[in-house]
Amino acid sequence: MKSLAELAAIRDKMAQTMNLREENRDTDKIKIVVGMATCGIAAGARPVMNAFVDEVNKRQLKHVMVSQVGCIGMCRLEPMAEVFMPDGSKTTYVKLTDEKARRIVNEHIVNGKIVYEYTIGAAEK
Amino acid sequence: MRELSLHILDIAQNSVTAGAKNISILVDSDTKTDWITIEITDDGKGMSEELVKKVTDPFVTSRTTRKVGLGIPLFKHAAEAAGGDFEIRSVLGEGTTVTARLRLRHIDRQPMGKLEETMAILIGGSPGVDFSLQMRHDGRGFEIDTRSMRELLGGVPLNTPEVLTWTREYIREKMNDLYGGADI
Repeated sequence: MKSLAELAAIRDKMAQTMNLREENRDTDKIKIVVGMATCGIAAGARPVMNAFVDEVNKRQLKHVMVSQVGCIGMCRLEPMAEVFMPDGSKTTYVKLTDEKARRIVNEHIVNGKIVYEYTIGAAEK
Repeated sequence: MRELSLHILDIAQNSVTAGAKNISILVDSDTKTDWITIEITDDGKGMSEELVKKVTDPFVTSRTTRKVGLGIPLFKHAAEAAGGDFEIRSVLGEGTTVTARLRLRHIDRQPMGKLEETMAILIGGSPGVDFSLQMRHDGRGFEIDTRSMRELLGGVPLNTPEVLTWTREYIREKMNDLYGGADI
């Protein structure tokens, strides 16, 4: 059985590693923003959001931030996510799933190759 | 929306948008009375009486107040489709309570689904807000709230991956225990 006491153990573990962790400045970070309004949620944004967070954590990508945003305005293409690179470029991914989100982390975030087949450009052709 | 937990996510996101600092979620079910009640209470900016009347109407709200939109009408519909009812109480400047009551065994009642995923997104997405989740079923229940989590965590933020994983697993385990492993 899980218990609240385990949180104290997490705290103690984090206290040891926290100082060692290199803090990146916000401007150096890659941002992944997931649409989390009614349209996004209804279309399946919850597993997409959790997949992004999980994959980023699994790979220990400290320079990546995953956050939420409201309706982006193209509800029929939800679940959507936008990837902002530190150089200011933006990629919009549409009709996402758990698996697509993981592939975007692996190919775009880690290897720097945009997954063109999932982008809004490919969907709207 | 296919799960009650998705409605909860959507409605609680409204609370976050409304500037709430405390959001509590109650899920109370009873096989004898055949009701399941879901209540989301916040201390956000609240709504005027006039706005409360409007927000359940999708055709009024989606045009005039973009912050509200379709989430409330969808939740209301889910409640009414399951033989239940839906109510919003709100005081401007004090907060809002959304209550949905559904027939537990109604054929069209949506399942609860992955409430632990909903909580992980809420807590992870708004680490500055305090959330509490209380679940009761046939007189038994459990409660988890971010306030007591914060105390135990010292300065470790709630959106730390390890903490979110713990939260997810804790809620799932408690729900499995409460509902005998079945989805409610």
